Amino acid sequence: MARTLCIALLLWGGAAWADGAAVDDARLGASAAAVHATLDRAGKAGLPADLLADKVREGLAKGVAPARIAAVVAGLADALGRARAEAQPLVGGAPPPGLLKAIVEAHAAGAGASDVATILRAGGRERAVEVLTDLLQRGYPVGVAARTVAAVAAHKAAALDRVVGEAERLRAVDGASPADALDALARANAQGLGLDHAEQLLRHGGDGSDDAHGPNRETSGVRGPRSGGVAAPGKGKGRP
Amino acid sequence: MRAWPAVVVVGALLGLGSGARAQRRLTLAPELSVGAGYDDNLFLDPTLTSATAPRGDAIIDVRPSLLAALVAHGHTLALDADYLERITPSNGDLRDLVTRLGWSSPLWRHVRLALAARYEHYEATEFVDNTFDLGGGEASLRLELGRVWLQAAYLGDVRGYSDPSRNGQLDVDQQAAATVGVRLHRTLALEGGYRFLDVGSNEPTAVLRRHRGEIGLLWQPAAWLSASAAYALWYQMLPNGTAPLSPTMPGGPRRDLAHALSVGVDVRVRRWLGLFARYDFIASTSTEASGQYRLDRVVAGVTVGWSFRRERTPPPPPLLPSVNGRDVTFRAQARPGARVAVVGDWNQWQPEPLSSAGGDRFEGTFALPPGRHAWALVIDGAVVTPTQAPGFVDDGFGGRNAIVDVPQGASAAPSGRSIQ
Repeated sequence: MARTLCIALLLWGGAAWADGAAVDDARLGASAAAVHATLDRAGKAGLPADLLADKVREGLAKGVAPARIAAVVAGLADALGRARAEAQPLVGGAPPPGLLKAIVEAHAAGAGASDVATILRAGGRERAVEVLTDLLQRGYPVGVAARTVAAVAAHKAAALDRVVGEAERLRAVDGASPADALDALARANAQGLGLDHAEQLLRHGGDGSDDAHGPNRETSGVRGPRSGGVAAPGKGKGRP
Repeated sequence: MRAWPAVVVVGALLGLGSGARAQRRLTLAPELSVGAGYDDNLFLDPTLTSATAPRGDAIIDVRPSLLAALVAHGHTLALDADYLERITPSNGDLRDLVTRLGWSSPLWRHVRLALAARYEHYEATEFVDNTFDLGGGEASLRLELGRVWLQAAYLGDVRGYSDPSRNGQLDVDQQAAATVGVRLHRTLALEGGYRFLDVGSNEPTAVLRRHRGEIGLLWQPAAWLSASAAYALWYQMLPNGTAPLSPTMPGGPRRDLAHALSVGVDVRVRRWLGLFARYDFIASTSTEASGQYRLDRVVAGVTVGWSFRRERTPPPPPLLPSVNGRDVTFRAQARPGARVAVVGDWNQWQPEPLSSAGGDRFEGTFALPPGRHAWALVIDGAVVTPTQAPGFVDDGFGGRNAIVDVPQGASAAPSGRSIQ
């Protein structure tokens, strides 16, 4: 117990020192106070101050003007607060920092609160929200993307890492539109087909060819009616 | 103007074949279906039997097929060969080979154009005069708007009968078809259509015009289960009538009204093994006895097949980071001798240098914690967004960070945090 406590204190102390090192950087100049205040407020509100400190370090590494860093960090703190308010009722407890960061990035990419909620309600967490962000940044429509990610997260979370790659493959190889690619993935997931076989579901209905073989009844006989374009059992459609 | 379809096909083939870096997929799907059942009106033709005493028999269907498809950039070139041997204990065999070479391509956003050529050979061993060869083509335009799709198609066939008793009969079929479909649910699709068929022939009694409407429902609740039902209703006119069949069936101009029902179920027991059952029903009423008939057919069986798929993926861009477990190799291109480093959220944005990989290339491998990481390159002291990365994210400062994902559960590099 004592050992665990020591390790926890060391970790907390290390993080606090690292955060402090970031905001005490002389390059922040007159904006250091504002940054300090933001981090203090975030810490008191239970928000992950290390994410804010990390943003400070990033800004410093990129040579961003201190006032701009202070404004961005304040904006990020607000966004994290909103993300926590969105997520907390849906995840049953304090959302982990990674999830909050993922939600903030998803909103920046164009996802609405309802899109994120769709994923969280389905049991999706940080990785699922990251996949949504990735899809949005690649131009996929937000509603379909959220529903697809939610469906995969609910059914087979391990497949989340393949959603973006499979969707891109359907677009590149099969020429599917972004919405159709996601729709095929969602259906493949729902039917347990496997995301790598989603191309089988890309085209709706029949292919326009006539399933009925043989001559017309009037000239020599017929082998049965067409099935209206819907695949007839035992006729070779829906192969593995 | 007449040559434009050929130009389009040749252009598509060239497009498919060119581009060594193109992402493409080749699928080869052989399948063998074997079914057994009963058909109470095998030949559905009063010229072959009597309308009052149709030939019914047990049937065994043996049906090998092969599908080969090449897909790239949304273009699909597919060859489908399908052979049926329908064996009956006392009414001989029916054989039917159908091959189809088709190409489809996106024309504009939601519209696809499909062209196909097909060949068919049909024969029934007890009725050799019915042997025919058919060659034809089809063109269709398809509009897909979310859950709804519309298709218009034109099909043309020429069918020649080789038996001397047919006196060189040559039929020309032309069909125009319109189909509309809607996906009612993720697992349920409804499709309906209208089809007009015109059969012209040098044999007057084969001339026919048919109007046909059909509706079909496909339910696929799981990858292993699908069920379908289809209903068709058609009205047809034979203006020159049929040849006299017998003194009691003199033939003459005819009008038929017929309907058909088909229901079936497919169960995929294994990826390579399926079971199917199908029932077909047709009933025709007519102004003439020769057009009055009924058919019931039930077939159930097993399907064995596999899909061999080979996908050609272009090599990754040369500067894309590669992830192996927790080890991420970052790559950069800069002037020879430059100071190149990587910064990211895992190293508190403190530069970690990349080593020279010869010439203007630099790389370094680092063990990263699992999760998504934002990163950038530092070249001669300036932070720059890399040109190649699996993804990018807004950095909040008016620029972008590159993204790299390290899978959860990935093992750490044995040599420590940083691997150079």
